Amino acid sequence: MTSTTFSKFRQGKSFFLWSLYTGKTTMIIYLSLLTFFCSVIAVFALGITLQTDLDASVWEAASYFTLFFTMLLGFVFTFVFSIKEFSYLHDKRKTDMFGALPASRRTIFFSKLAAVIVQSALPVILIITFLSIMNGGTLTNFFEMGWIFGMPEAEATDKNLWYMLLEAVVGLITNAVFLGFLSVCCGKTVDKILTYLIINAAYPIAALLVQVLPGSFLFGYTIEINEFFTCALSPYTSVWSINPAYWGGLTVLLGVLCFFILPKRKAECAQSHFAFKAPLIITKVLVSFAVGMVVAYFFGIVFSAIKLDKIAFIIGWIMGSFIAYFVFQIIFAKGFKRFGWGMIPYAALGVCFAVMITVLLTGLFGYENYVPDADEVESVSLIGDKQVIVDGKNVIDGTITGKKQIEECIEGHKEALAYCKTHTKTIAELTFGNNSFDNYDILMDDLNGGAVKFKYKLKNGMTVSRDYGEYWDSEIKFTKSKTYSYYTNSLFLIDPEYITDLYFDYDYDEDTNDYESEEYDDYDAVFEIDGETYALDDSSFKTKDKRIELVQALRSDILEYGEDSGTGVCYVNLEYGGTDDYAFENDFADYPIRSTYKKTVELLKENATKIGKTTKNKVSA
Amino acid sequence: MIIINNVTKRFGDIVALDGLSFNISSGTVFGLIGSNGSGKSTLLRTISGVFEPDGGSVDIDGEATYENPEVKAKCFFVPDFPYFYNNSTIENTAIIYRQIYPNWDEEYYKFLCSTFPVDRKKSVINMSKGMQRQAALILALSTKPKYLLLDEIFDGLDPVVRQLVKKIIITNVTDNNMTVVIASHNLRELEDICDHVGLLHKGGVVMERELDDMKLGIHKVQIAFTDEVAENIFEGFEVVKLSRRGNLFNVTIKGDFNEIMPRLEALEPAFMEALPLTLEEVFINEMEGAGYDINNIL
Repeated sequence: MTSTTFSKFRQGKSFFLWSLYTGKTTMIIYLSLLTFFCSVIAVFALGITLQTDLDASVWEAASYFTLFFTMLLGFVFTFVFSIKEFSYLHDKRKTDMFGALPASRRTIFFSKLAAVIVQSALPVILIITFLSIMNGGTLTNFFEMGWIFGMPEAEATDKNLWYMLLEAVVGLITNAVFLGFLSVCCGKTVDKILTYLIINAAYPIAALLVQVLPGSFLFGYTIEINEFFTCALSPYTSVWSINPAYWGGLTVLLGVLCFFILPKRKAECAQSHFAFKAPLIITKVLVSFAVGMVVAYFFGIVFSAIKLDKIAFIIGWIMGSFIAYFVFQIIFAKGFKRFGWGMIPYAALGVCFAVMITVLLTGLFGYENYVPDADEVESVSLIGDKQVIVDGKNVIDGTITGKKQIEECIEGHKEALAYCKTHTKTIAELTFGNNSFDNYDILMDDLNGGAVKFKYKLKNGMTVSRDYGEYWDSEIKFTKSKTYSYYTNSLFLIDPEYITDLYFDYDYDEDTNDYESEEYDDYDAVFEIDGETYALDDSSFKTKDKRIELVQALRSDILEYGEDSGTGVCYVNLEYGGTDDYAFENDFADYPIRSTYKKTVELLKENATKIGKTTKNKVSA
Repeated sequence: MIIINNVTKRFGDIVALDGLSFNISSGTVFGLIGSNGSGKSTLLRTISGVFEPDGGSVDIDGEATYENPEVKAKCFFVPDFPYFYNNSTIENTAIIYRQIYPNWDEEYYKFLCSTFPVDRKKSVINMSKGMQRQAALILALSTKPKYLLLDEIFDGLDPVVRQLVKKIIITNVTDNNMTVVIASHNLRELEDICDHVGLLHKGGVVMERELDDMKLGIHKVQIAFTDEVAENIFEGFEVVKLSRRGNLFNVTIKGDFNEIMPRLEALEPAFMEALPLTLEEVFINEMEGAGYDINNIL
């Protein structure tokens, strides 16, 4: 039988080229904007590098800003091209034209999708490829400019541009396919735009607050924000994401979904209603939940002051979620048509929320009160998974395995729990007191960040983590114990062999600040003990043996007198390091030297310069 | 041949086509007439494969049209508002049709461009409604469709172009055995060109037959009497419409012509003449019969 149509490939190619042809004006605008921005960026980068002390060269700075704007424009134009190309699904007149053409819906759709991808990604590919070649494939000093991509400075490293190109292209393809999928599901372009924006904005908020929620209700819950989960259903983030494999997988899944639902899509949905309801329901539920949670937290935190936080939280969620759902129900349904049916997902969401809150208020099936028996525990750590990396290896090990110390920790855990139970904490305190929010330790002397936390490894292989925050640690006796001091302080946990340098500084107590005057400019720290004034400079403990001697004295004094005893004498800043400059996550720590630390103070006196008696504030040993 | 078999199409709670069944033979010009919302455009969209029927089937040459590019390649649907891209011309729109329709005839395209009074290099979107329809028709006919589906094609065309369109359509039907389905409210134009007519009402087909047959079953007669006659003089006839001015009557009667005329003569009129019945009169009559409240509307 002779075919009366052209092959699918030839048809697809025709639609693809036709899309490029009809989109040429938009493409010209896109390229013009890109050229304009890149030119402005070059000038801007020149200005920045001339006026600041960045290590990055003009060329590097220009590259970073160019990358940022190229990807941003790429994302914006993916959106624009998608609206143009897929409008044939939403405009009745276009639907008539394309629906009657002798080509399958799949051929038309995927040809247009390919056109959207090529149109939006091609300039991005060209520019990043150009930058890759010009920069030798890698952008150095990324740590200084990683903020442009929303990357925390501590995590930023040199960036492989070819990998970045892969991320950008996968991100743009993901967005194009996601927009294509929404186009198939929606009946109107405005619905598609709303759905896209809401899913991208509401999902990360909802996902973030879902992860925070247990920590706002449960004592000891460790809030852990999983970046992948937080971004997983927000394709916008794929442009900046570091997980191209996941986004690639999601893209394929959405593409396959489009392939199967396209023939079932009713053409009469154009300019009318959603062809497939799933995105509509997801959008309404997501925005409702996210707005509900934001209002709930706002109410909960405001009413924490009068201890009505929990009821305020629930009322806030109901108000926020209902209003959001109600508004979007009316927007999407263009009025009150089938209002009752449209509220069913909200009812389901309400039931889920009620179950979730009930479970949290009742202690999450015993989670809150659970303290393992000493017999069940193989080891325990008071610093969680904290690591200090030197030359690529972790140099601390806070694992406690001694039976007596484990029992001490378990008693400390029970004490912390009992303390929490008798000092009811509000949502505000529980949420913001949870130390796990603080991902970046500035000082590493307290490796648990000042919080009371326990991480048990049980004999059955399971792990139990509890974090009681940092507000009440001083009121819990366990925190005064030698075990706590030893296993939470880097001074003990890190071998002094790794100390590469040390510096002295004045104590920050107000009563000794008087020494910070021009008279003592030649010294790093001046302190007074027993009527005598001593001056220290950094050269006093420069040899390795001296440093080790000081650390051992300090360790001994802390264990004997505690961390907070007596008034401050001065600070010693220990610098740890290896051969790799940037491998060390936290390369210094300040330790206060107290007047009660006999061995340490004696050692300081031996190595300091005596500069005579003083009339200034006295520190008594 | 187009076989429409028990086709149903719903839009939510609205039933646009309700178990519609009839056939359209090849090489005919089929007029689709009906009231507003009767389902004419929906039927054309279903035949052309834009819409998928909710029930029943539409077969062209024995194959379903929906998602069937092979069948669609034989059809061309010109909707009531044909779509053109912004700034597109006939010339650049032809690029895609040329590549998609296997029977595209370049010579015929050039012929049509020179025949119709439109500039093929001018932006279509800026043309008048009638010129846009001409542009759509040029592109449609250039694909050499076996089945041409036209929705309100005469709307906005000037009388000269209307005649031209009819002429070109008839030529194609005669020379190429093209089947044309035209949905229109312009019954006068349909009367000139159609050989078959289907009358739709509320999603159903009221009647479907050859135009001549349609007219055979209903007759308009002007009849005058010298003396005063009773109001019920036409009792016994199946009168569809009756108007009187003195002793002059215009009466539309259903039935066989050869049977009606002798019976009317038996009433001994002073003057009697059978008048040609327009399609509009047939339409109104049939719609009235289908429950369309003509008197209230008119």
